[in-house]
Amino acid sequence: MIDVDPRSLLPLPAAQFHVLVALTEGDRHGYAVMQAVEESSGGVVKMGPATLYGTLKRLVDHGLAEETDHRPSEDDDQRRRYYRLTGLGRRVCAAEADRLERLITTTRTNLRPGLT
Amino acid sequence: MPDSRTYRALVRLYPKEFRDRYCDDLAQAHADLVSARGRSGAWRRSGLDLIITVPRYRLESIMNARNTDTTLHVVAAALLVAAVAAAVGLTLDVGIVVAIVPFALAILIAIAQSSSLGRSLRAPDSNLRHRRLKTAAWLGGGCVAIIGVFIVHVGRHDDWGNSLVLVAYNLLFAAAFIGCVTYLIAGLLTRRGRATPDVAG
Repeated sequence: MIDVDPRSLLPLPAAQFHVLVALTEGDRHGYAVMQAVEESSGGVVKMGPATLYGTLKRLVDHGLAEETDHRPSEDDDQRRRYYRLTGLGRRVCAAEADRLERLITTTRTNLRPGLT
Repeated sequence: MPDSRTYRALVRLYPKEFRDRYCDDLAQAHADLVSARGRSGAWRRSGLDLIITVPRYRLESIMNARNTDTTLHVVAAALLVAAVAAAVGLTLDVGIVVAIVPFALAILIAIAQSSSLGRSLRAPDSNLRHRRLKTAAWLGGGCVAIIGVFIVHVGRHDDWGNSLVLVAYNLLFAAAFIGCVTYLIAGLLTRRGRATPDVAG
């Protein structure tokens, strides 16, 4: 298998990036991803069920996330479908974070010259 | 629960592939929302979500890579109709006006398919370019074969045969040639497929 350059998949749509970030914390089922996205965005991003699963489908199709049989604990619902990041998904998420960091640095420099 | 039944009924609005894969998950997520936020809170989010995503996923389904071959057939067929209409129009001395509509239709569909929006809506298909170029090669071979058969036919009969045979040869050749050119252009414009992602890396 040949490595895919993570930068070739950038910029990521916001919904995909939010879901990838939620999956960096560990394997999650759909509703847990929805909650994590809402929490990490301070309540700004509220995904509906179809937006969430459409985004997950796209991530799986692009090889950035995958379904997993592994359950974080015995208490978790065995019927739910769990997702986790792939190696490519981890690298793409990191590359997108770097891209956004550079963008934020530039924005701050331009808005507050001399302070950064 | 009536909530769950109503939501499941609405999920049927999504494309078959999506609802077959995620119907239970969608219903579960909606049920979780009802438990966490109450019926009205859950329906506000799920209802808005349905309004936004149903048309979007329907459009995605239409523009999906699996349907692009069908779309290419439509483009090739429209070009063939335009060619035949132009030929008939010129023969009957009425001009090529009748060919404009199918020709414009073919161009519009081709532009929509190759636009960045069309590309962004399609799921990745690493074999698409190869498949299209292979089809173009087969159709190109078909063109050569039709010319070969026609030459043999003329050689045996010492003339071009009756006009019906000539029209049949021309139609067959035009169909193969237009199909070949359409697939060749589409193949060359298709980006090279990505290698299988290195999931383990």
